[in-house]
Amino acid sequence: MLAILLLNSCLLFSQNREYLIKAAVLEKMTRFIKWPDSGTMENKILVIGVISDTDETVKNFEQYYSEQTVQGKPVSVQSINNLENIKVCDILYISRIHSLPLEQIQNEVQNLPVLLVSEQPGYARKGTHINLLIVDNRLQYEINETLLRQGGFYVWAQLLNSAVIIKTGKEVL
Amino acid sequence: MNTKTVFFTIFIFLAGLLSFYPIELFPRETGEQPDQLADTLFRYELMTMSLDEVLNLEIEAGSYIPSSLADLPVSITIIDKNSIRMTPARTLMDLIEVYVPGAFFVNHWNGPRFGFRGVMGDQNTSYLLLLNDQNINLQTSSGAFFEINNRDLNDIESIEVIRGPGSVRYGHGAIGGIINIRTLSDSLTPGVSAGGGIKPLYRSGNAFVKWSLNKKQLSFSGYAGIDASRGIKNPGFFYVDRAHGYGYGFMGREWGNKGLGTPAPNFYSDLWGNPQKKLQLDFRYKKSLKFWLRYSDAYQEKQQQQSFTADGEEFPGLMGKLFMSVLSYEPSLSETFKLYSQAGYSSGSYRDISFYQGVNAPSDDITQRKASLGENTLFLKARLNIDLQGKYKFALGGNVKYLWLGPEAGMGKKDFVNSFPAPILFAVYDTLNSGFWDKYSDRGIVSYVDETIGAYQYSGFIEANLSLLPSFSVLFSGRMDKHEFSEPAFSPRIAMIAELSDRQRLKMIAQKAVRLPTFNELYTFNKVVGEKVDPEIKSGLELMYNYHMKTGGYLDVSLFYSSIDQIAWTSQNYPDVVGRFDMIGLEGGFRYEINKGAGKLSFSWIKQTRWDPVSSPGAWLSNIGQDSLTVDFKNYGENRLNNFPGYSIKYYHNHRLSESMQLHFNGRINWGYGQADMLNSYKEIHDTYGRDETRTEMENIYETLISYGYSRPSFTGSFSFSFAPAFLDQSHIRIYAMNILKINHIRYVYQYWEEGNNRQYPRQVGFVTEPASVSIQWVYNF
Repeated sequence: MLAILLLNSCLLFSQNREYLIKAAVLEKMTRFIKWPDSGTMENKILVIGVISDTDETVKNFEQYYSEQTVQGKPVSVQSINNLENIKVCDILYISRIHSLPLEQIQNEVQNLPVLLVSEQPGYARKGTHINLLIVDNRLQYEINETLLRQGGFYVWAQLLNSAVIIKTGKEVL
Repeated sequence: MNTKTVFFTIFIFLAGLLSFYPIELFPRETGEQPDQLADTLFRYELMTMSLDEVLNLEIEAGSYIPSSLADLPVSITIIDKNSIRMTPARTLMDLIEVYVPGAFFVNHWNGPRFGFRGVMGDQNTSYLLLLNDQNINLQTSSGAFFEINNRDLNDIESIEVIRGPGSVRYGHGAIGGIINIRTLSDSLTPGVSAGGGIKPLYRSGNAFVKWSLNKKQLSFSGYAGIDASRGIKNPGFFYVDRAHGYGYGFMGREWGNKGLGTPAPNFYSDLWGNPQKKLQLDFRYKKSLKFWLRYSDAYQEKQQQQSFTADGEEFPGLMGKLFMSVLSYEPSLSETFKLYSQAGYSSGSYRDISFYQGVNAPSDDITQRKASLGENTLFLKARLNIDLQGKYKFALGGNVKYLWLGPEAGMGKKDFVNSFPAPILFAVYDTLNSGFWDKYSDRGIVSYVDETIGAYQYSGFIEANLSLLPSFSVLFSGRMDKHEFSEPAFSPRIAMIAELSDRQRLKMIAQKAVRLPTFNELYTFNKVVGEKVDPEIKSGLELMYNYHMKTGGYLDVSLFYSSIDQIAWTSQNYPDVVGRFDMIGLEGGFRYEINKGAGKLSFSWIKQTRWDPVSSPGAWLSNIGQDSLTVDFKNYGENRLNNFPGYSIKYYHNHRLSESMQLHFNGRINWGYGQADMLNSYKEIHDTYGRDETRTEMENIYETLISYGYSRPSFTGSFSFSFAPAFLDQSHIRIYAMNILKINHIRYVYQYWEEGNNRQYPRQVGFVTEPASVSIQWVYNF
């Protein structure tokens, strides 16, 4: 009986929690980030675009942000399938499972006040602003400080305290 | 019907009520499934956490099965990295006293003695100090000793503090509480940061460097730090010492009524100029394989009088060196199974320099030492977690550990000495070359031991978390600890968790926790009497409630009752129950978050409800120039919460002033100290039994102590200010102002616990007036 139960078990629980935690971390990080003046932060709604080949990230982000504001604004979580839509985003979250080339994404957001967040080892070096990674069953984050500054973002000192700082700008892909 | 029975009856009644009527009492309209409900609560929890708390979220504290904070079957306080960096603190002890409701420490001459919820022994053996989940208590004598005096806190990532018992999860010894220090571990990409600071009043300074490398699947990080302190010279150290005829007053050359006064010990000083050092290296391969090793040491002056040695006047001291190495392998076998396994080796060197020889030997000669030894440990741990669709979760596993005593690191067998209870007393491994044996063996106080002093310890545990109903789950846990020299010690626990709503939890926990006597006591009893020792048992009931408010606030309340059959080394030369001690307490806290800041207000209350000593309490009255007078002494002997404040309110707030500036404030008020009873009782006894001379002296001591705030309500407040200066790219400067606001803020020196429940007072008791100080710390990220 126990064996049957074990064989039939299917655990999605932990992955849900991973994305809830990432949503929370993202929201708390934004408290320490100031968008450039030309940013869409003037809008009444904050848009988080998610590039992912699965629904998992969007579903959990929607769940988390349904009752949570960012910088006092309600949040709209949008799945990005067409790169044209990137322009309305304040934050672009690039899931580790995605089929769009990073370089193409970067070209689309170039000179736009969009915060690029990823979850893939090495992506902060390749040109995202923030990279969330799981180490020792806990979340850590890398910050590409050079890129943030170049993009006109201001980062509070407290956020840099806990981060792995990358100052090399964008590496050649 | 006694108090314990009343509480147990209430607990069972409430448990039964919740077990049978959870749905009717707390109807749900959402129709959510258990997993969804758990996620909903988890989401609310996330919303009220700080960034550091979320980053540290893999929570397993107090239980073998990871769960969210709201579901943990323990009262826990987590001190995150930002709080650690922002809080004015000299050591770990200050941090815990600031953040943990009801936590408190006093200064024993051998170092700090810590207390949670009314449990405070004359040694730190009633709680466990863990470092990255590894028990680092000194087993032979003092309990928590390593790391607690370390002043450099820059390598600490977070501190988890469990208030109350926890031996079902952490093994024997976890009666009063558990402190788990999590150090900075492996990082992701190359980077270096360095920093340093000074504390002018303490005449101390520190420097550290952290670095990390990352190569594909392999990562490496390291930390090295050094901290040197000469301590505060001539602090306000008030001391009563009738046993040696010194008298009472603030220590100094003029102190003492027989010309025996000495300068006060330096406050927070290294011994003989040896700075504290730390080194930690972490290696990781992929996600599942990790190896770390760590070295830390501390040489400290004891809080005692000076002594004369062949080298001149010296303060006695303690030395501790700890080396740890741990290999962890934690593969996810499947979605259902996860394996946790660890193997490790640690060696802790301990030296107690007591100057037995006085001027007849140099200060560091072995004949001046009470103990000089190394505690070596090899261990294996394994645990299997089974998760059946999130509804039924199980954990089972076991540990085996071998502990043996050898010489200090880098020394030979001739340098080994360890102080056991009678009749062994001082044990040595070598009679031919041991200076200690040469000097003392003819007095009959040294024993030669021709075997390696060591013992195996085993433990087995099992836990089941059953979500029986949509809004109700039960956690069954059990653990057996077996020491080679003790009877098996069982720690059962049952925790019932009811979801009153998406945002509210009610938890009820019943458990037994165990504590074994020290290794030295276990060994002595086993070798001399040939029998195994029974553990001390603490029975506890706890009712907990927490509420995540929509506004972002978080309320938690805990009502607890505990009963301890206290075990101590008795005059019959074996450990035995000396009495039963019952307590009741209440803790509550409200954490809030506002636009630019967050903080918490907490409250605690503790009351002794019963003390049934096995032997009659009495007192030996110091009777100047004459024999001691033994008197009946019920009032004071019955107060087991001697050094605890009955009430405590603590508050802290962290606030962002601007993009680069942060402000921190913390304050605490304590009142209702047990010492008030003690002082009044002794004064009464002197009034009744004493002579004119003793009555006058007691009156003077009483008034002086009171005038400096002894046993009176106290308050202290500290600030810090952090900023990132524009002219120094990538750097942080923090300025700390500790105890800058204070009323009656004194740090108690431990009141000696006398054998057989007798106490001589005023014999040796005192306090240090806690000083106000300002310090600065700077960190640079390369």
